[in-house]
Amino acid sequence: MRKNLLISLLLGVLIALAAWPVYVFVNVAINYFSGEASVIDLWVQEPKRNLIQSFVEGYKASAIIAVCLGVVAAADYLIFASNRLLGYIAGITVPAFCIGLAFIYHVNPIQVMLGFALTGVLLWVLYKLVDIGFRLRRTA
Amino acid sequence: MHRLRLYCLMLALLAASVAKADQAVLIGGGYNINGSQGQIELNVRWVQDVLKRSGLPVVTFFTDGNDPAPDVHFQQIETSSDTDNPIEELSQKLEPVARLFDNHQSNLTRYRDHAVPDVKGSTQSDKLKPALLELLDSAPEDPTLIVYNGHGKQSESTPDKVTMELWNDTQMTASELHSILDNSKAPTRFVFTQCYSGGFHRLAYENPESGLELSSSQRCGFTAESAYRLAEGCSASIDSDDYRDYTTYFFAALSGYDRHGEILPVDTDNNRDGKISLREAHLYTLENAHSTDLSRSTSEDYLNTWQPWYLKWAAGKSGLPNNEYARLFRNLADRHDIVLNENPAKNIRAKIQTYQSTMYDLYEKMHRLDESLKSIKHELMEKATTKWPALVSPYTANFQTMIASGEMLAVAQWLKEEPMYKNLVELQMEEQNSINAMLNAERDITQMQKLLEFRKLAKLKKQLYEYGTSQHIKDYERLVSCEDQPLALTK
Repeated sequence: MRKNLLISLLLGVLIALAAWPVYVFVNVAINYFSGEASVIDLWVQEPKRNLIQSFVEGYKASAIIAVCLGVVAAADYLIFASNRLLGYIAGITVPAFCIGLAFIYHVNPIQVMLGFALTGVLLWVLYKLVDIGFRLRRTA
Repeated sequence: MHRLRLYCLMLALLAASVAKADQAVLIGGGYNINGSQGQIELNVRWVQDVLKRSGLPVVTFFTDGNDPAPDVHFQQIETSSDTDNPIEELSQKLEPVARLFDNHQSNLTRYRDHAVPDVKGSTQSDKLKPALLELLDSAPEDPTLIVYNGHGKQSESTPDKVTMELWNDTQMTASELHSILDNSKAPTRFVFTQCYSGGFHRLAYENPESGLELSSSQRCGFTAESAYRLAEGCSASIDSDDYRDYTTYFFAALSGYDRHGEILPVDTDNNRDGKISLREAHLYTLENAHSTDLSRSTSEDYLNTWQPWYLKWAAGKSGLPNNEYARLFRNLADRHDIVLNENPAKNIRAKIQTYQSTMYDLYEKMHRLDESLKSIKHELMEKATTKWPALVSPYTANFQTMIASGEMLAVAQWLKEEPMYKNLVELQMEEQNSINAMLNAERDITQMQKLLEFRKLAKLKKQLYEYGTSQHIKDYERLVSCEDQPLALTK
């Protein structure tokens, strides 16, 4: 139980730290493939420091949301991951929470849904990697 | 008694209208003679004329003020038939020597005192700053329009540190002008056309360095570029057909006539209210200027500054809302044959790549031309210096003796008859053509960047009304209403 608590804590911190960079990465990728990459234009047209500053600003401003997401991931791990059957769907609350954020923060959530959903999926993959990693270590 | 009251009232009304007269401050010229191109002078003269015709009293500051020393350089047109002028005759004769040992363009460069009428003083910063302060102090309630035509320098830190490069290699930053303007409570509008001019939009904010709070007095303006890009213009050519700078389009839209006096083919009064506002002129310029300028207004700068962190990075849908920027996008896209299918941004980026590869090819070509030119020049120079050894060391007694004896003309004649000289001229012309082609490709790229910028602005404007606070929306509308006024406010 104590070990699970420690892993969930680690997972929570990891998800919280990765949330903003993953969100940025996913959205820039979508923008790039759709051609609407105004952020990439800024990278070319303005000093790099402006965009880096904006990224850092976003990191700080989103910290509270990222912490909530970390808590959700940690709680999810404690609830689902210890159970063999529920273990398969462990981490599902992470993309669900991300999709929920689109509804909370955006006037037109459908327009930004793809970015939030993909961020959730990528964070879920990260969650699963940690989860599977610890499971393998346990069985070894 | 009633009549007396009526007279008093009329007098008071008259006094109020006199107290609130418009004034235009026109600042222009380069930072020294080599940076003071003929184009700037012609622009200032033309703008001064447009402002005067609109009924505005214009206070002009230009380079060294009324000092008769030369302060402008310009390029003599090659086909000039001014053979009565000894310098033109000599210049034509010496062209081969200039092409080989120096630069053909320098051979055509001439220097003179400016011909701008009614100049109040110099733009040298220690003279201009007190003069501006005095102007604003003498009429603190008068709306002012500031127009600057000259050069600017980029800021290494915040945008408010961009500069106007003034006479005698002096400067004034946007921040310094901000503190000068703080002496006036009246509306101030500005048109800045220099490189990196976008930094001057910070004049409209309370804190010039950062923040979104607007200054208590109304300020707004238009700049040829952002705080991070070079502007088009600053050519020494006096052939105004070449000019594609912001001034050329903006003031033509305001006056209804281009700089040759020809009427514009379109009506720039979009809302048909009988007055052409600065904003209408700006939107006309955005749509019609085929230049390297990615111009912007303060309200557009505000939209970009306002965009919150959670919207800046979010990937949105590709559809556009219905506003003026979306209309500009559609018109310009149509003009450049951009297919407006589901994903026009992708088509625009594909076009940018095509233009970029054209530029790369031209760059490679110029590199090859440069190598060939070097080799031809080397051979010709060797031949010439074998015949006339004094050519090796200019600024020496031998060289001076050679010039005084008129032998330089013999060198020019000999060069003209050399078979390799013809190749040299052809290569130099080809090089010039490549430079022009590169500039055109750059202009084409800017048109595509403009399209992307219009898409961004169209979405930003919609976002402001969806996500912005009532204060943000109020501030934005205040800027738009400031921009949407004609040249003369009190007429």
